[in-house]
Amino acid sequence: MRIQLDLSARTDGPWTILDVVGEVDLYTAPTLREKLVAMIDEGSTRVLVNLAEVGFMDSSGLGVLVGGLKHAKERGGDLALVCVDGPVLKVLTITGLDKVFAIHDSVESATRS
Amino acid sequence: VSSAPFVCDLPAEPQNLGTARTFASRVAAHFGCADDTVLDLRLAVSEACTESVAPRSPSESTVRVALEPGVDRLRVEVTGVGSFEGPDDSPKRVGEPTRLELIRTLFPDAQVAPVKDGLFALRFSVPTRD
Repeated sequence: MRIQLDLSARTDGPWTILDVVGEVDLYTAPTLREKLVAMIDEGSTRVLVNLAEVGFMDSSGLGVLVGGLKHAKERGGDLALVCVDGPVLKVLTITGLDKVFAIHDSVESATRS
Repeated sequence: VSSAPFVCDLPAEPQNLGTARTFASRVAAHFGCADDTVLDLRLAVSEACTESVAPRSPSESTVRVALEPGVDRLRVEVTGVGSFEGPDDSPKRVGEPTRLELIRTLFPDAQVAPVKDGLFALRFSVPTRD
């Protein structure tokens, strides 16, 4: 059973939104990392990672998000998350990372903020 | 209630993590574990298998996921080369839990013990009913 991860990027005003669909673990995390780094290196300063359609994420995925946030801040930018109630929000909460990231419940609420 | 364990042996490769999660969650659901417990089990099994997956693991090594039904609980055992003794390979912030700490947050009875041939077993149990 191959784990699927689909990524697509779009812009909304100052935001660059990365829609993530699938599962994020050791197998798929490198793909997410490469995309995030490329987006930031290409000049995206306000990155919104939309995890609403992610059904599973473990510490490999969390590591990518933490690395992405660090990378964005080093370049004067920021990285926020869209996350609805479910397994992804739970792992963010139990690791304390819900206090580290700005977490929105929808893309719309994030881009309006 | 006790019966033979349900066992899944997989090559210790990242692309098999999803199979390990699916196997464990379907066995847990079959034995009546609550939905939240199944989700926690998916995470714990994924973390445990990741510990035994490349690049740490030698080529051709395997990881075993076994679930054995007991009275009101499923005993879970993940066996592989992962000792949980080295640092995680992902970026971390101060205070962020290691894989084993994360597993123990979900299942406080989780224990790691050496077994044989340089392998380690992570064992914990999950309730099959609330």
